[in-house]
Amino acid sequence: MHWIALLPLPYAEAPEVPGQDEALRLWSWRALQFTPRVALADGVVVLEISASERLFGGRRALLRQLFEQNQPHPGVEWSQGATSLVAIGRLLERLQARQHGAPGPVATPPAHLPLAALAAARVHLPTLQRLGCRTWGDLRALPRGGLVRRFGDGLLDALDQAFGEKPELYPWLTLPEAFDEPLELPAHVENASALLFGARRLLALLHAWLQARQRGALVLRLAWQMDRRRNGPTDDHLLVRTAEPTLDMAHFERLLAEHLAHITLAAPVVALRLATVETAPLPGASASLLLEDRRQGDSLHQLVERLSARLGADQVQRVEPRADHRPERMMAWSAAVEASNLIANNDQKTLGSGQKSLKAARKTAIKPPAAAGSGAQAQDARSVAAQPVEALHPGQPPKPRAAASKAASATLQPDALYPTWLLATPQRLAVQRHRPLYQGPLNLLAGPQRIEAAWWEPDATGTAAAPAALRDYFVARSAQAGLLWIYRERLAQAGAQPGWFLHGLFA
Amino acid sequence: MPVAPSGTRLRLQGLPDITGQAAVWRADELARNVGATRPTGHAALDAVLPGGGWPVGALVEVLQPQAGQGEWRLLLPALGVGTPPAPSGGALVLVNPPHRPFVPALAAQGLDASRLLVLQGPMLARDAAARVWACEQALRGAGVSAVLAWLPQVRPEQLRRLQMAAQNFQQLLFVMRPLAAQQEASPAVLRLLLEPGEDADALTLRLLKRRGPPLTTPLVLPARPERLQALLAASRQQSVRRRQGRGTVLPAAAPAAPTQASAVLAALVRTRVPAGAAPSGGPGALDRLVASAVR
Repeated sequence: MHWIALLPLPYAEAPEVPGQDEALRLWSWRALQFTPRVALADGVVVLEISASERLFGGRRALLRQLFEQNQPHPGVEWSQGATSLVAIGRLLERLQARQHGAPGPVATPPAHLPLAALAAARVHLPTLQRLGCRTWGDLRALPRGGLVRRFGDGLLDALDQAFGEKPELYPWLTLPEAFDEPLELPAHVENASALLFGARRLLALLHAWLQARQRGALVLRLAWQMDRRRNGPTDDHLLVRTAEPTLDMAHFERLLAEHLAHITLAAPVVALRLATVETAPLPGASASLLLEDRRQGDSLHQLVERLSARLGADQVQRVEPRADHRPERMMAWSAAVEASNLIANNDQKTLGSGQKSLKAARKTAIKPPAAAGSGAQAQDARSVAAQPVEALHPGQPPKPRAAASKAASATLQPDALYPTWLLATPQRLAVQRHRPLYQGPLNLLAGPQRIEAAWWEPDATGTAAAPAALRDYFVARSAQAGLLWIYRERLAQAGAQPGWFLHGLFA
Repeated sequence: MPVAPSGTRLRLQGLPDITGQAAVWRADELARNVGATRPTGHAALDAVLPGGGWPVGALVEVLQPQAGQGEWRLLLPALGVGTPPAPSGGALVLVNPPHRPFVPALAAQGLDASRLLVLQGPMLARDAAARVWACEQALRGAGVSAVLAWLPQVRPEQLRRLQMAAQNFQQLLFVMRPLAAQQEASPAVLRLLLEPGEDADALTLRLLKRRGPPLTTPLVLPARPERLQALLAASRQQSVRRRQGRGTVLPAAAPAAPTQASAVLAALVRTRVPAGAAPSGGPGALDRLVASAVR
């Protein structure tokens, strides 16, 4: 048997301050990672580790994990011994010495421990002092029968347990099934951002709970109770989500900070409560031997969540290609929070579809001539001829992406004739003598490329047909702005001239 | 004091010849110990950059007369390929781009669109500090392979912060700024000036600052991808022909003797033909395109 007794230092120095027992709970939960035999005895956390030493790589390694891995840990005083009472006795003796400013002894033999360090002897301390008993050894030298007759059998039992002659049994601590912890704030908090200090303590507790359960948190609920004396709501809460189960409390702290920054409190807050709404088992991470494989920094989903919390989810976007003829519908923008795990791990996905827009590919077969220009152009011609034949009937809406991507993956020969920038809304161009203007007159270089789409789609109201996209696209050059992608409407919008629009830039 | 004759290198009297040692850098050579670099994809540019590529973990500043001109041409070749730490290619973060990146065109030039993470919106357009904050956060991400930021207004100390973040987290960082920033001091290790070239088919790239001697002659990069260039060349050829009045108008439905340029055009335009469908009489869009080019 090998026992560890430990006491968090803030608690040891001021046990009467309310809320400090949370530190005891924190350490007992941390200890539960390593052994199920954890108990509170004499106001001290004791744990028995002999059964799990080997699993954690020896006693030294286990202690190192307990004290060093639990970052950030407030100061803790600890000691060890063959029985729990010896461990507690050494701990109390060291704390006593600490109060007098002396470095405590490391391992006093049990017989030399002071009687004040034995809980059962504490009530009889004045009597025992008058008897001349100072240490556990002195007490043990007294006749057992007389000791029981004079002090009751509690003292003798404790002495036997301390010297390992009697087994020690405690009501062992267990971890709660769900995490739901309240925290009484030491002072009323009026500023939402200041709630973070309290939340940080609860997060440390949550970290210990998650570690012992080997789970990661997905959704947390931070609730606060407000002063009842104000006429207003008394309770409020916020939910914080993350995409992957995580133990990283710093990430939750940053998320909470961003969320709390948007909140104004109706009344001063007196208490906090943190609960897990959803957790998931934490998959083990395989560590790499190579240093360069481990990149420092946050993972992508953490980044996306932090950016979305500050900037708003609609300003952090990712894009997915769509099969459509209208350039503005060839890509679908969505908030990245909802799909952040898709970004970096889609090696199998083939992208670069959406090149089916050239309505020109209708029903015309053109044989590539034998002598088709230079090498690159001849290759192009061959690749056109080698493409799988795809029927594209007029009147049939474009296929959904799942089907289209298969066809696209067969021919990964994407089209480079599109501009690299697309304006979110096409910009109407002024016209002068039938020529469009954009920072000066434009020179049409190539085109028209006709797009005639979307006439099959119902309007947003579902009744009339939406104005179909009937456009002729041109590549135009501006002296100032370089190559532009502009289009001319073929049919006028209601009550207006058919106009020229700027839709893209070749960059 | 004797002046070293022009054309020969100054030899320090009494010192051993130390040229060729890695620890010594002469001010008239390119720096050699510049850390990791990534090839730019433009051979001419690689040749004049210290380390032969974009510096990883440093701020690269690109000055432009107008945002949205030529930056994809300059940067895409390097961004398309995955980097060793994140072989599949981590996320590519665009902070406050001037327009929306058009995914099909980028995919055609080798950029996987699913890697794009675009930070764009009214708040970012308005708030310069938020842009810098977002940049800095993006640089911290381990799953991020490069950050492209369009920062119209940025203070030197903010740039310095970005430079430090890029250095700490070893990220590729490109900051696009307006031409007016040319006169300001900058912590960037590499400053480029990108503008449309004389003949509009090329981009002119001046190296304003690099670790090495100043480069006086600008570089010329192709302004657009090959296929687009071929299309424009074909159209130009047609228009020249038209102006000279030598072009013959062909029947729209079936070009009997397609000229070389119209064949190129036809090859460039993606065609998908139904199996067994004979060319019908109705003039399709492609026919019109070819016909208009030939005419």
